[in-house]
Amino acid sequence: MNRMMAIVEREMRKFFRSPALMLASMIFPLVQLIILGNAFGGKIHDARVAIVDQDGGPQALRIRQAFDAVRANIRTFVPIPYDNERQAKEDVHNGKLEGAVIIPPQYSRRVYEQNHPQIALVVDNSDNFMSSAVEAELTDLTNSLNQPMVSPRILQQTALGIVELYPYIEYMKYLLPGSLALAMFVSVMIGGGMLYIDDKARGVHEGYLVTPITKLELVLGLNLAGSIKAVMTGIIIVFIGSLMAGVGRIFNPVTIVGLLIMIVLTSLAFNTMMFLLMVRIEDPLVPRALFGILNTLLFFPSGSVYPIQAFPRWLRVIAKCDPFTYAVDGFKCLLLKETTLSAVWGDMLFLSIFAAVTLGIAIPLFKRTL
Amino acid sequence: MMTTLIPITGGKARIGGHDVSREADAARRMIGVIPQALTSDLDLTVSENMNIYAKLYDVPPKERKKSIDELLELVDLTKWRDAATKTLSGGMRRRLEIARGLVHHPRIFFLDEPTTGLDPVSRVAVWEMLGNIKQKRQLTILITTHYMDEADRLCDRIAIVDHGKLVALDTPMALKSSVPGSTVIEAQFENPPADWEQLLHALDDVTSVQHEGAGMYRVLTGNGSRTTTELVEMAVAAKVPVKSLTVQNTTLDDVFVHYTGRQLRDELQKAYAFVMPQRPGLQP
Repeated sequence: MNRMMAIVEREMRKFFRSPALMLASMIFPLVQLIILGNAFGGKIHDARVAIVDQDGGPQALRIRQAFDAVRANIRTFVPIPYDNERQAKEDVHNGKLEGAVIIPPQYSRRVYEQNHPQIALVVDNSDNFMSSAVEAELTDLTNSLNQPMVSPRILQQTALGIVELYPYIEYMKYLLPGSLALAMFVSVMIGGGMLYIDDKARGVHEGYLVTPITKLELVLGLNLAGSIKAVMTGIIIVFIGSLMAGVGRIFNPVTIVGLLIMIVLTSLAFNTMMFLLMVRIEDPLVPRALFGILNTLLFFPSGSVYPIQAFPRWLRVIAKCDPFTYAVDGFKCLLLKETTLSAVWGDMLFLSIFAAVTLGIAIPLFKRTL
Repeated sequence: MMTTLIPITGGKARIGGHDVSREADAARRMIGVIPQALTSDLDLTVSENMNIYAKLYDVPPKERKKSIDELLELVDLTKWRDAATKTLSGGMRRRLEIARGLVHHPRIFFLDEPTTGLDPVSRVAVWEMLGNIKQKRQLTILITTHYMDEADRLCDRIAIVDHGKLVALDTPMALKSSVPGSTVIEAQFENPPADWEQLLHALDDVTSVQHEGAGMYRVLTGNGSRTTTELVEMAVAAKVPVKSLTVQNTTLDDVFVHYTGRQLRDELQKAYAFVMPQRPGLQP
């Protein structure tokens, strides 16, 4: 026990003397939270859309008025009048405009004659997100123009009433559980993976191996030290991240207990996984090369940035085995859904079993000799 | 194998009566090992480095401080005890490692290339310190080295190992005496004739002649002054100019060459190729 704690003491002293390492494991997830949280999830505003009115009739005027109403209210588009259809299309092609609405000649007359009146929308579909938003907004606008002037006495259409269980969750809040898990993963990658291999390459482990420390004490000491570093990172990030994202739930005692348990289990699961991956590696370049692959392989399928339900079947299988998935789900429940511990026991159980299994495989693989 | 770092492939090894394979932990408590690379934590202080190892060796808390104080005094690092290891010179770090290896009072002390990479002043300091430790503690010190002068100065007995085989084991004096010829003459000639090696061999008291290329010959003789005189006279008579001439007593380098049949410099080059880090950034 004393020998195991000596390993932990050495690792922790070294970690606290290297503030750059501590910062590196925390800054990346926080930057991601700020940048991605603000970059995604916002609505489109001020898209430049040309209006080419080749009709000039009263029905065309209705369309232009509808555009002006959008401009004055939700500001999805800024309508720009164009005389020349070709010029408008050219400007969409060149990226000066996000779209162009063409109101053809005789449009008003066709409306009155009920002779299939049509208007055209030209969009730059190389930007799928923007073109979808413009299309959706114009579809709404067209539907409202198509409404009869007098409402029918009996409403025949069935309306869908959506009941949201939780208050509106901004994308930054949605990202917080993933960023928290990522921060602990980066901490484990640096504190448990890279430093472990660097120490091996420098001969520090050779120094340990000539002492009477047992294999179990050495493995447990290294894993405990790596996990403590990740727990510290997790506690700091959950606090700073929640303040940044505006999650007030972190001050609730039940949530605090749940978060602490989740942070400890996540740190153990991540660290034992990393130790298993590194246990037979000697080359210090390998963990650096693996970092990007592991990050993509574990973080993105976890539902941190996009729902798992949208994944193809093979990616869902990866998500199912990925400890990130359970960490993110547990943090999401505690931070965003404000659930009690009973809702996250499944995640906790998976993380505990995962940590025990990976450690159980790593111990016999660890070599007590050079 | 003796330090338990590599599994034993055959036979048996005992340290202090403990079988290295079966009672590895007991054997580890008997030995102190200082690897070739400097492995102390640069971010930790001198005393912290010592303390961690004292804990790894289960040195009781009461003895720990006393032992560390004594050892730091012994290696002349007392005033640096709270300094970060990264602020120490290479020689001081080596002294720290030597103190670290003694923190649990081992009976046998293994040192792997203890002065490799040190400047001449630090080398001498480490030698003096090891001599000091040998005197003050009941300790068997086992040094592996490619520096023959180091072995000559520090060791009571020297084993020469060639390709994993023990080819000689004796005191430095006895090893030197075992080499035929007590004096080495190294002479370089300008355009010597083809049979020059045979002519040199025919001189009185010469036991061996080695042609090392570029007109350089290494002659071992039992009578240095007589052979030197005859060699110069023969060169003058044959009109072969002597470019350089050195005369010295047999060294351990000659002993090594005699027993292994290879030049020591080849061994050193091999050793340095091993020592040189593959990725220099990772070495302390």
